[in-house]
Amino acid sequence: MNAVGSLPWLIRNELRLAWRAMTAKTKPWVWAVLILLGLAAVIVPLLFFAQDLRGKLAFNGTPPNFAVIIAQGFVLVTFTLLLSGTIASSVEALFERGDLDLLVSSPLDSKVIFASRALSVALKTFFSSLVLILLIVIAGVTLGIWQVLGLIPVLAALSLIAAGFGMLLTLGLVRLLGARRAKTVAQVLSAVVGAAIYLASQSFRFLDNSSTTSGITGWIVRLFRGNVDTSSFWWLPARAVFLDPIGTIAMLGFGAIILWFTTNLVHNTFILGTQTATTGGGKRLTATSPTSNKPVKFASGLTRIVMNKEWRLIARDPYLISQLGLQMLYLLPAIFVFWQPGSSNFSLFGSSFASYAVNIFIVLLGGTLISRLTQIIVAGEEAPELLAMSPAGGENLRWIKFAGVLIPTVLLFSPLLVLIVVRNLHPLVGLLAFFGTVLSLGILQVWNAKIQPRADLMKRGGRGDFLTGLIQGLVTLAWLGVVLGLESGAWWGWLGLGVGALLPLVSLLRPRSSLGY
Amino acid sequence: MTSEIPAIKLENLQKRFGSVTAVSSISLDISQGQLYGLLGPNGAGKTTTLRMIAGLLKPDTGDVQILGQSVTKQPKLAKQPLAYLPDDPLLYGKLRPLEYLEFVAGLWGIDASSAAPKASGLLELMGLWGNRLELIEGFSRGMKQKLALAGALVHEPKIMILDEPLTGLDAAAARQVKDLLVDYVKAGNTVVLTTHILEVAERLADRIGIIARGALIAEGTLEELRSKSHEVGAYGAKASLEDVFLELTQVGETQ
Repeated sequence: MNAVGSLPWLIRNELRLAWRAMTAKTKPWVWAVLILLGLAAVIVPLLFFAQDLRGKLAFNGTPPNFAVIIAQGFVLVTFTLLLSGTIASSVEALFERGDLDLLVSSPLDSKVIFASRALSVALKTFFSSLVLILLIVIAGVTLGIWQVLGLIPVLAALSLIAAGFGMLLTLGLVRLLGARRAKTVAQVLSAVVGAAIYLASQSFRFLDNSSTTSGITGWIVRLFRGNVDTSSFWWLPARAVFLDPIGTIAMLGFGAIILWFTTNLVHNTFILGTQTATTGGGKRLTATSPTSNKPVKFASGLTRIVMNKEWRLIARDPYLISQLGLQMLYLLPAIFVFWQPGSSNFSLFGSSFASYAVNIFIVLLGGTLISRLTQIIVAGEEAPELLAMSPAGGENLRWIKFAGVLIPTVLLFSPLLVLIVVRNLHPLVGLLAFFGTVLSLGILQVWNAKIQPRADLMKRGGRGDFLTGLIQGLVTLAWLGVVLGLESGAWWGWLGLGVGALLPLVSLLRPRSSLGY
Repeated sequence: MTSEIPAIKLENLQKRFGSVTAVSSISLDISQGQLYGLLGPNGAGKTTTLRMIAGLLKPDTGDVQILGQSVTKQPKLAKQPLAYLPDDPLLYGKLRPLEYLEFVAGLWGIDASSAAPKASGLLELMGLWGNRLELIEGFSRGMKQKLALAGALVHEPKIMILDEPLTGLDAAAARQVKDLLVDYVKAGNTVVLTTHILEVAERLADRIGIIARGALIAEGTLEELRSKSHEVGAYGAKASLEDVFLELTQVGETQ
């Protein structure tokens, strides 16, 4: 047992809270099954399909230059991702959880308290990324590259460094903007970082082969082909990935120093009164401000008032918008998988695939957008009881909310809808599929969404129940089937139409309680 | 005569959550123009009762009538004259106070031209006019409570159901709210409130109901409760509401 009030005792408490938060929504056995499936997904293909590679990639001594360059890129990307995560964790650990006042007012040494917070952020970061890193390590070891075991100490070092910098950045942001805005900035920053990395990873798909000697691609090609001196100080992180002893010790040492320095600085700054900055961040106006005599005007009509409220709430939530944008962005490659430069003559079901591209695009993107927006405003309703006890009527309000997202979605896609008609890209099928998708996915979401905190909607596991998700996936597939089947004259296009229309109809006609929202 | 219709009528109200009986066979008439205090220990069933009155929970058996309209059979009509303020205010963090009041007024179908000055007046009254351009998420607990109360009042309800309305309020704000409730009742409206501050109920309530383990164990004016307590306990005729409450709830718990 650790002594009460000691650093390990506090860290144990932190980890217990983190564990409970993690297992509150997802049971530990689900995690275990997911991890085992992930491991199997990596190991099985390697054992059965990559036999030829086994041993051929193995090396002794200094790793090849291209591997060091890849490792350096991996370290940079991982650090960026970890940093964006640790900023959000630091805002929570330092300012949101609300138990820091209790600890600081206790007889415990404040340095120990802040060290436990910093270390717990580092540990949480380490363990949350360890599964993915282990997959790479297992893959490497299976292929005979045992040196990738170095990824584990590198991850530990990166977690320490990211936790240190994360806490420092958080304090800076909180001082400048206040805790609430700092958290939003951190969240948007993490979405932007994710988007940038994703776009960079996808950018190569769109580069013509002839242009590989110019721009970023060219730079990377030259880097790979050139004689880069990877023995210099700057390549220490990459060498640590391959278990280079100096690199590993340097990384872990640097991590420890950063965290020690941060703990001291954070402790001093916090004690000196940074905490008071957390309640600020909003400019307060007094009753004597110049606008105070301006007559107040309200909008009239329930529909307009409800729509105003919904769009204000979305427009004032940059985190929600950034996450929504990110999800739309992730869909783009799914469309470009079928539409690559020079592949316009690709044939599918006897027809040029290029003619399907726009219709598939509007079904996937339109469906995702309406589904997420409807979920945000229906499931993410912050005061469902206010609506439930009002005489406006729950069904009526849900329809108004649905109209509130349907109209802007249609307006947003209207240029593409016009394009389908003007360019004669199977306009009837395209319009049917688009309106069918947005109406059916929207209706499914409107009548099946379960109320949950708006902030949780964009988190993993916060996207509604499994069955609704499954039905939505099925409906999306059905409308994709309408596009592909009806355009090519196949019978299953009509089957898609039936499924796509029937499931939302059943959901709509399901009996519901007259009480409540 | 509309005044003969009770503001709130509970008929054999029952609610169970699994094997737990939260409310068991409560029947009660609350007359118009009264301030009614609903008291009880933690977990007694007060909030469940209030939520059934507000139409947020469907009773397993029995019915709630608001000015003669059944909450389960004619929910829209029953909810029109009603406002419910739960202990955790129902607010939108990213709206401004006036936008919130505009939304609440809209839900109750109040005309924009009359709702706007009413909302401005309520913000002034609650001391929140100076904060009208700030987002609600930055408000303190007390400010949120005052804004929620303004929201409950903006559609001029005839009946207000308040669950711990003084939570988080400072002394001045609490006094202000108490005065407001007294004036509101004097104007012929009805208030049902729960509170753990028994002095508040003692000073403000015309009638008091005491709930223990889901059942209404006593109901009446303070004098009537005193006499009932006198029969079962040793406090006498000068007993405070606190004495009466403790005496009756202890008896209720043991029964």
